Amino acid sequence: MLELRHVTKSFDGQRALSDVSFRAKTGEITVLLGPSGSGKSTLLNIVAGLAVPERGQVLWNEKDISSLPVHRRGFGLMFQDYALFPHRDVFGNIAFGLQMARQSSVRITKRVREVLSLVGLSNEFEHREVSSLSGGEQQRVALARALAPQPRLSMLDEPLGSLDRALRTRLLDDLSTILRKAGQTTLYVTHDQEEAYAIANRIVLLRAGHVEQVAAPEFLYRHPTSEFVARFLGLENLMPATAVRSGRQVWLKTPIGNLPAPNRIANGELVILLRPDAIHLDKRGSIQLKARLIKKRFRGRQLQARIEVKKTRLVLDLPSDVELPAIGKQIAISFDPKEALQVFPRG
Amino acid sequence: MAGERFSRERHSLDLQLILRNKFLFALLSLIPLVFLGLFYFYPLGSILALSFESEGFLKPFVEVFASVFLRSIVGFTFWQASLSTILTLAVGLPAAYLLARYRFPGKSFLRALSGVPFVLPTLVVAAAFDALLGPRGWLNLGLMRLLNLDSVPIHFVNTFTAILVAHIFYNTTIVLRLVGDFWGRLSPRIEQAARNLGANSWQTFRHITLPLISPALAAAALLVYIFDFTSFGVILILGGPRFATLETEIYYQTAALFDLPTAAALALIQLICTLALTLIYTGLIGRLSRPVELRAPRAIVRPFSSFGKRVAVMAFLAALALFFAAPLAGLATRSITRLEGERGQTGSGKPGITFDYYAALGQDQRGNIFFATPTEAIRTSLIYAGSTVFLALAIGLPASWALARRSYALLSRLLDPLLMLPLGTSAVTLGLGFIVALNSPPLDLRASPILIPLAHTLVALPFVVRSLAPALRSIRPRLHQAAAVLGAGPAQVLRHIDVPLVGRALIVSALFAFAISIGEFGATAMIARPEYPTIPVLIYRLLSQPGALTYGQALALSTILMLVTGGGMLAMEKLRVAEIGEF
Repeated sequence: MLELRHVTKSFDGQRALSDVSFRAKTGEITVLLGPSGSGKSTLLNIVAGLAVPERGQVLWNEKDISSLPVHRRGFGLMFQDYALFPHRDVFGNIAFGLQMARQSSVRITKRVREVLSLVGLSNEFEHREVSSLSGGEQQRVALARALAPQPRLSMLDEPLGSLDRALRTRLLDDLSTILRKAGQTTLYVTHDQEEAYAIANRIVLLRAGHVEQVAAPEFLYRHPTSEFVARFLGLENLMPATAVRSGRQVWLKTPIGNLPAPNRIANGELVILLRPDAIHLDKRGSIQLKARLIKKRFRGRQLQARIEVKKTRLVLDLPSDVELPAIGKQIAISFDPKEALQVFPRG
Repeated sequence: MAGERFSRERHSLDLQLILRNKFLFALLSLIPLVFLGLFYFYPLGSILALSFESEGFLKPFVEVFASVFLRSIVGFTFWQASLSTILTLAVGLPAAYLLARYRFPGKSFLRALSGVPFVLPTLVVAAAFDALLGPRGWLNLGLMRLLNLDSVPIHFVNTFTAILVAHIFYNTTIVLRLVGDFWGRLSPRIEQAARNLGANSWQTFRHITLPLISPALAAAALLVYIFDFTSFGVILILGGPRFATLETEIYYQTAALFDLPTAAALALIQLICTLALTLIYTGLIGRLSRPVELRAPRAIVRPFSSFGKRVAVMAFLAALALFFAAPLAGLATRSITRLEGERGQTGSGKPGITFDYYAALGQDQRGNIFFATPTEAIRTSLIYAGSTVFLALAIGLPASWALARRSYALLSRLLDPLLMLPLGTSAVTLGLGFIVALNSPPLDLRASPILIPLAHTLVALPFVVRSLAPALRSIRPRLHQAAAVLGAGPAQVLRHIDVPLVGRALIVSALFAFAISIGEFGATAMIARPEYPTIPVLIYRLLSQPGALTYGQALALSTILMLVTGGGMLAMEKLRVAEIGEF
């Protein structure tokens, strides 16, 4: 198991990582998710031993490995730009780590063929020059090179970053299968939340150098703990709110009206999230509002409706068998604050 | 951005490294600077000083332009260069188009073949044309025998035509490579779009293709012009005494008339012209990077659309291949053939295949004290070439290293254009500079055998740096990191990454320096001591001698030189790592 404790790092006096702590369990895929500049790659470099943290420790199975040099860590790293060796062919690239481990040439050949087929390349690729490979093939070779020495931990830095969309979708599935089949403990860096959902056992969400939230993908989606996380995950129906205490009840003043707070919260400026899938078209919920239908979009298993409530636009995710009135017509909606509302401090 | 973070870190690491090694860095970039200062700027400065000395500022120019003869030399230099360039383009452009757009058998062979003349020493090319078309060449002797003629039917050597043909032979490959490669990567979609919008094929070429390829076209034309402008061996040997350009006249004024001030004035005029042309050329090369949609060549080429077209095109290409191959094959075969009716034939040899000319390489035909045998010349050349390889690497390595470090220091920013300067300076001018500057204190190297390797190093340095610097630059920190992550310790990184990557470039540079030194004629002709001629100098002497055996010796020496330089270049092409290397 990999563990980071209070890792801090600055460049030119600017904080790149502050007090980062998390664990990556053996056999799991842990995704470091965050926008550009959130410190994901720096974190990978620290784990790999390519960069040294100012404070904090990197532990492997409870042992501090902070001062272990790069080549003794036994961690595989697949670089964002692949960094394939231009003077070695495909075989030479994949075999490199095994040669460094002084394995016999028979075992090297066997292992190279093994990982080649694992990443879905035929043996004919062995003697191709790396410069003659397509983007997708280079990606597979880079992955094979990182996996060949059977590293204790493999790290993938935006492995699909430079590929086009169609190829990405296909390779993402393959990647997930390959890593799970190998039972590989993995740190996976990406800025794309869909990629993270698709591959992660656990997501570490980074923001400007600190850990914002750590959770399994489903949990993260259902229970974001901050406005930033909610926005970054692409959740809609976020609006400003002000908490006002009236007796024992706290009310939220929002653009769509006053709503009872779902849980105990402090006074002040807040942001609320009205979950699109927790709004109903009947009177099931305790809060009932009048709305106007603006747009509907059929999305296969789901029907997405855009409505307007008191000049605020909201999105509803409905089952696809729901009958909607014509565009522009009035509709009634309802929701339960406990189920549908989430409240974050603003900012 | 994630990448930005990373690069900032790398930047700071490099900076620390540089600061720690600042002294070493300055020292290493000083080596090439001092070398250029002593052996490039000081000699050229001496030419400048000599041409202005005691005569007033504009006097030498006034003198040159007042003389009808010298004025006609300047005129002829421009005229022959212009005409050669136009003819080279006329041959090269259709071929460039065909290579770029069509698929046909022998395509890569033709491309490689066209490049062979470019790397051959001028003496070899001159000897090759002489062996094919000269008075003692295949064609003339063959025709004389066939038609029972008493005199030579084809007059090729010592004509203006010979100069033009040799220049086309030499430089067509520049057009093929610069224009053809660029054209080949231009997406045909752009042209198809124009056709779709109603342009006919001529309009498409005129308004779409031509403007797009024009930077490459201009760059190629200019480079060809520069080479033709400073052409030396071709004019001296194939043009003969009736034709004089600035380059040959500088040589003549120095070597025959010992009129150094006039030579210096001519050299200055030439220097100004070539520097201006080189500046324009580098500017154009910069514009070549204009963003146009480029594709991998394979996706673009197509087969011929009709049989007739195919036949016509193949005939043209076959003629071109013959044009490149015939003189070289003529040289090699002529060097092992004794023909009937050879003038001044000595010995008792019968017509037929013979290796006598090679066997005679150890013989001195004249007994002059200044005359060396071909074997001695080969030895001299090898010693000079070996020294040049050593010097060029000793100076080229630190220079490339400084360049690959990017521009942290003013020194290395200065170094880049400075190192390319000798490329735009004619060899004869360099030789003259050496004679003027290094013959007297403070730097008296007149009697020193190091003079020739020094001159050759100057000529070779731009090529050495151009193959070494990209290789050094290609060792991105990423590759080190990738190797380290895979378990390679610092020593293994050096052994498995750095050495293989730079090793090939080192061998390529060494071969470049060797090939340049062994074939260099212009500067060597100026400064070589008469008793120690190099191979090209001796070929020149032998070619201007009568006698079948001397002629045979010249051809045998030329053939050896052709094989050595051609083989060297072939090895370099093989060794070159894909992606690495610049034109």
